[in-house]
Amino acid sequence: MTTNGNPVLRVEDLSVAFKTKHGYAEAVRGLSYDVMPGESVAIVGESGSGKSVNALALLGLLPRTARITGSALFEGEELIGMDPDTLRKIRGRRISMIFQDPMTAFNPVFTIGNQIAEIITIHDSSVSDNEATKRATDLLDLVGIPHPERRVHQYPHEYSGGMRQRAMIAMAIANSPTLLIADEPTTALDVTIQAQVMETLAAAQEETGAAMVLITHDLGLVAGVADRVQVMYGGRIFERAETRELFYNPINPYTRGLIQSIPRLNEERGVRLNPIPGNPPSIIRMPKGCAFSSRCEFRTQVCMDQPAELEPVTDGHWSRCHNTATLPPVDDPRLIPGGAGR
Amino acid sequence: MLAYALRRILQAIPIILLATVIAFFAVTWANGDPRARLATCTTCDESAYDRIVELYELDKPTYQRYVSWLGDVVTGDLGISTSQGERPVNEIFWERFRNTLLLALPAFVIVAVLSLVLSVYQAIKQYSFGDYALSAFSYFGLSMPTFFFGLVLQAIVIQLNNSFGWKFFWTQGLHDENFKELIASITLPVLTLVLISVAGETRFGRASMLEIKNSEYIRTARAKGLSERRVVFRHMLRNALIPLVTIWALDFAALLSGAVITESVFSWPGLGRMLLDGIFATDLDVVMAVVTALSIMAVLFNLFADLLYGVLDPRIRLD
Ligand SMILES: Nc1ncnc2c1ncn2[C@@H]1O[C@H](COP(=O)(O)OP(=O)(O)OP(=O)(O)O)[C@@H](O)[C@H]1O
Ligand SMILES: [Mg+2]
Repeated sequence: MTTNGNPVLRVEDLSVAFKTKHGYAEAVRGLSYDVMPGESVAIVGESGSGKSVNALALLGLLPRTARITGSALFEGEELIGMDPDTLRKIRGRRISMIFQDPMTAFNPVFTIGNQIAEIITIHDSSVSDNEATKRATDLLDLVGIPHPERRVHQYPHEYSGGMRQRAMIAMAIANSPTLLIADEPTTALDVTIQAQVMETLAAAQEETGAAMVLITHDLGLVAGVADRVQVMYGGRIFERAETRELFYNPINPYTRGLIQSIPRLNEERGVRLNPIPGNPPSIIRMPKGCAFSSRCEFRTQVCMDQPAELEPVTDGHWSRCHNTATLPPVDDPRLIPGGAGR
Repeated sequence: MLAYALRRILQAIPIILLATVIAFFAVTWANGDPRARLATCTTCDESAYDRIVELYELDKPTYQRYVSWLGDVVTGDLGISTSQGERPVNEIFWERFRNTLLLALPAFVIVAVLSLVLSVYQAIKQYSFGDYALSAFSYFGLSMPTFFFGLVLQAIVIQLNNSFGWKFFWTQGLHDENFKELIASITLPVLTLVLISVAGETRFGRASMLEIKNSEYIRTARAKGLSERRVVFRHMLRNALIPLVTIWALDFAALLSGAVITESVFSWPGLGRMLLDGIFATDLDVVMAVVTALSIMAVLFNLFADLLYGVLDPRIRLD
């Protein structure tokens, strides 16, 4: 992967706050990252860390009451505060989104082909309905739906979960977007078909040359797919590195905890999984210091008092931790992903 | 689907029969023995007594009379009215049915259009002033007794008519000399029917639209870059129609059965009044005709609602 050239997406100091009974609560806090053309960036973190909110904010899909500040340049155009009609023309055409639950993400009363054709004709009125249906059939074929010429006329309820998510992928790449945002694309699926759908997604990305933001809470899923990983916690990035580097040399205590909680297929029997104890903080009661401090086994006084900054540790490897210098080295073999990709 | 419809109709026949049996026996028992009342008739002579007993088979047990009533109905003969100068009930029924249609059809069209438009509007503008105002109006309509609203309307229009010395609308009865008179006489009863139905249907429609509005597939539709118009009118409306159409079909059946209260308040000669008058006059064949028609309509429109449901929602399979 080359990292020269301009990023497709440059997010800078993005914050999103929701109005609550106790005033505004920040779900995303000063988020900054780049996505280069063709690159896959994974955003990983536990539930509630602000992964989805970040994606929805970029596309202008949050409720109007959400307060969004900062900047998101997509191919040089500012998305935040963009006029709704201009943004609408980018959605589904230059940026596509794949949602978590394929069961509910398709409209139940229209055929799959109809819904894929719609994303084509809506952005290019010169395409006839027949042509669009033909292209929908080809797209279904591309994502590995058997008998696409029959399946294209079927309704969502006639598809299995895995097939629906493939159809979702087909719809997302219909207009050859430059950026794909996949929000937990396999979370709702059976473990056995998760890997197949991830393969389809990677193939679809390859086919279109699109860059991808892959949002997931499952670090194990990103090993084979992402070029870079950013770990999010409490609305902030806690660690960012190339994928291999992150798995072999995780710096941040939160990342270490996440990696330890990945189930391994080649694990000896009897070894227990190690989920991180405790729960992520609620956005309406963010601690004064580091957001992870209450669950961190390495915390010191400074962690409770002030938030840490995201700082470069080695080239391209960033971590947000007060104690980076004093953390024990990573030599635990448990941290090295074996069958993590499954 | 045809097989399904046929099977449903066949299944409905016992239900309709049961309804007529219950009605027949209830009216007969409530009546007591008509011969006792006939016997007290001082102006009737012996031969008239015998003729009436024979005509209505009054000397036979109730179940035998029911069977012969049923036989007549199946061949299309609804019998003879005892309270309306021995007119054939067939004649009375179709005339009353037409009059009920004069109210039911316009009321239904207005209710359907209004409830659809208002539920879409309220769901899209949730928590706006308009939403609150319409909700308040709905609760008003839901809590208002029909007869009271009808009477208030009448009082207002009578005041209007008097103070302007000009008749805007009829407050009583059906006047069908010409189209203008017809409109002037259906306006108030139709308005009453509309108010009571539209309130409930709009509450229902608003709730189902809101559920749809917050669904995942609507978010997908937006993420595809569809215009707000297309999201609402194609993706939301099509789904909102599914539950609404069912309600509409059942509501239309109810309107067709004749709105007893509204027809009474406005002295409207429709089916509802026919039933009421028949009960008060213990006019067996008249009551039976209306009851039979009502149960057939209830069954047919329930079936119609289910068929529509199957057409609108691809997830439903009728078999
Ligand atoms: N529309 C909203 N109004 C108020 N709060 C919201 C809204 N959407 C999200 N939040 C809050 O923002 C926080 C971040 O939510 P987000 O959906 O981004 O989490 P996530 O990282 O995607 O988690 P998950 O793995 O559960 O999808 C959560 O605390 C959530 O409750
Ligand atoms: Mg999420």
